[in-house]
Amino acid sequence: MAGKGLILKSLLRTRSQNFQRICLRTFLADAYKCEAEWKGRLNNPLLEKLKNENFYGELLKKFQNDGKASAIDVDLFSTFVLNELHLEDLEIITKKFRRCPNTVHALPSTSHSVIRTYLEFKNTDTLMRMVDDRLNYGLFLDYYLSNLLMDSFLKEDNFRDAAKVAIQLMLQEEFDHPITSNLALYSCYGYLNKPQPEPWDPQPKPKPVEPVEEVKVRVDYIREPFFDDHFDLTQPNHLIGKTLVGFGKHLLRQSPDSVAYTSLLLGWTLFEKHDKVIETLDTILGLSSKPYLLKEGLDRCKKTVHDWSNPPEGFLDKYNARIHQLEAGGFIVHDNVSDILRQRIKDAVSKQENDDIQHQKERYRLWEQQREEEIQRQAQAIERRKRLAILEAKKKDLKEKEEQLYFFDNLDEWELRHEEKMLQKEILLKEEESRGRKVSAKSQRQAEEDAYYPPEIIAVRKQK
Amino acid sequence: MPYVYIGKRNFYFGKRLWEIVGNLKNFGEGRLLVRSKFERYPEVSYVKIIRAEPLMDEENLFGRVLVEKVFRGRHYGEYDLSKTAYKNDFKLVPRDEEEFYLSRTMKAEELEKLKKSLPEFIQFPPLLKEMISKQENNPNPLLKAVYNLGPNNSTVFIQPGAVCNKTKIENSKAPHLYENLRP
Repeated sequence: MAGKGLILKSLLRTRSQNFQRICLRTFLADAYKCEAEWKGRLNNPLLEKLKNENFYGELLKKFQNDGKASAIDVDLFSTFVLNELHLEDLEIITKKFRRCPNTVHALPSTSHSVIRTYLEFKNTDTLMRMVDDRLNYGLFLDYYLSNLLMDSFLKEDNFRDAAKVAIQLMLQEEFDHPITSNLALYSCYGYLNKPQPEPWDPQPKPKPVEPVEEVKVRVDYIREPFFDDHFDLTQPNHLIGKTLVGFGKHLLRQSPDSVAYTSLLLGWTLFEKHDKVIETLDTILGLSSKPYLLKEGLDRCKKTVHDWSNPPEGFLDKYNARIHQLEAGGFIVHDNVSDILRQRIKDAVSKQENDDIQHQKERYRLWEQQREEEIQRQAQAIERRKRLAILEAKKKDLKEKEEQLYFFDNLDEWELRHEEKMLQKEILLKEEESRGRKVSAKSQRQAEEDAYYPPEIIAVRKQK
Repeated sequence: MPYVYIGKRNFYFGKRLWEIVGNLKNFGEGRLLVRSKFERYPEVSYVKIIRAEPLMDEENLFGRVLVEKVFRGRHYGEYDLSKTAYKNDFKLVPRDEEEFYLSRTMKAEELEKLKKSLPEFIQFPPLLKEMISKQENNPNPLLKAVYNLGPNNSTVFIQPGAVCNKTKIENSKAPHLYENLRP
């Protein structure tokens, strides 16, 4: 036994520190990454062709000329990014594609490939910025990707990015998958305990320079500011609070236990919804089956409430009264949240992992097939258009030749057509003359409105 | 704030449909949206997205949406909301509150109960009746009633053969006008 222990120790010592940490905190097996299938996408014979061409340049040209590119082209581009230097190009193409009308036809493999590529090259800051900006990039996480991301972030102790993944799940309101929900809760609690790495936003958007004096800008319609408590949230406390509430509510429906109630309470406190806090406390106190609250969570609640600069009137009294009741009634349990969640993740992983892996492998295969079909379809469409164009040109040619050859036979009909054409031309000329430089009434009114400058009111003193 | 915006106002509270739908997976397939303007009615009005295809212009104003429309509790079936999607009046319904809206939609049986049966024929005014009966030798001519049947009027049910014999308007606000009428 000792011999084995010594060998193990020497092995561990020879490896780097990271490997030790990986051994301690991996939740998902290595097989979960489906590396073989992911790398297998490079076996496509198209890759050879695309390596030599300037695919990126041509895609950009398409976006410039037509304003849109086909979904399959963008999909091929995003799957075959092999170099770290091409990541910026990938970002640009993703953004351009998302802002063109063809986004509706985007293949599911496109966003998956983009996220996985960024993860491979460990550009996680840029990745999280892109994932957060859904309107401009359209990268949506499914359960497999969110599990993968959270696992890799938690391995590196990057609680901030793991919490950001959890927040994205909350925004899409997807709480179902057992591994994902437990990992998300674990990441949120982990970030609250240890808010690392420090700045919540490592790549903030540059703020536009505002002029010193007041500048009046004419807009068509003023947008009244409307804050929907969902997509507009920016403060990390609010976001994490809402995530905890979301996952807590889902857990409550399945199995109301201490983690669920603590998450709810802590979530509402972080989210600063005062009446909801009191409501949750009342429900906890009022339940016949005594639910337990974790001490860690309650302590954090108390600390957050204490840190509030101006809570609403009467809140602190009600809050303190209920907290006293909780502490007196023995509702509090001294378990460690991270341990409970870690155990749950392990259970969920042992149940769900293999299914997930099989499912994902199937999907990779399906996507390969889809890609082939789409390429074929596009090629056929292009061919068809070419053939039609050739036919049209031929038809026109033949018609002209016929007119030339049989001109004198069909002279009468030609003269009739000629007369009608001349008449129409005259009418058009007359209309244009009469119209002259006339502008439509609507644009005239608009021009008047735009040119209107409100008069300055100068006080005129009455002279006696 | 140094930039002061001057322009036309509107009195909508909410977001544009495309701003909400662009933030959701699959452009919000199967999610419910609610308009603030329709919250004035006691019945429930919402819109369930079947398919949304935005044009992705700069201002997020244009695109095609196919929805299932429910207005004031009644289900109007599939509807093309593209023309009103630009209004910044929409709000997303979170998944826990979806049931609140779905349960308050009236089902077919409830709509049947609300149906009003209206007569098919109406009596002519007395002088016109005399004139027409002399012309057509028909002692009792009847006027066929034309009802405004549309999606908003689906609880109208025309009873064939029924004749409206009322000469008075019930619950009128000026009953003195009908005091000395012959029956």
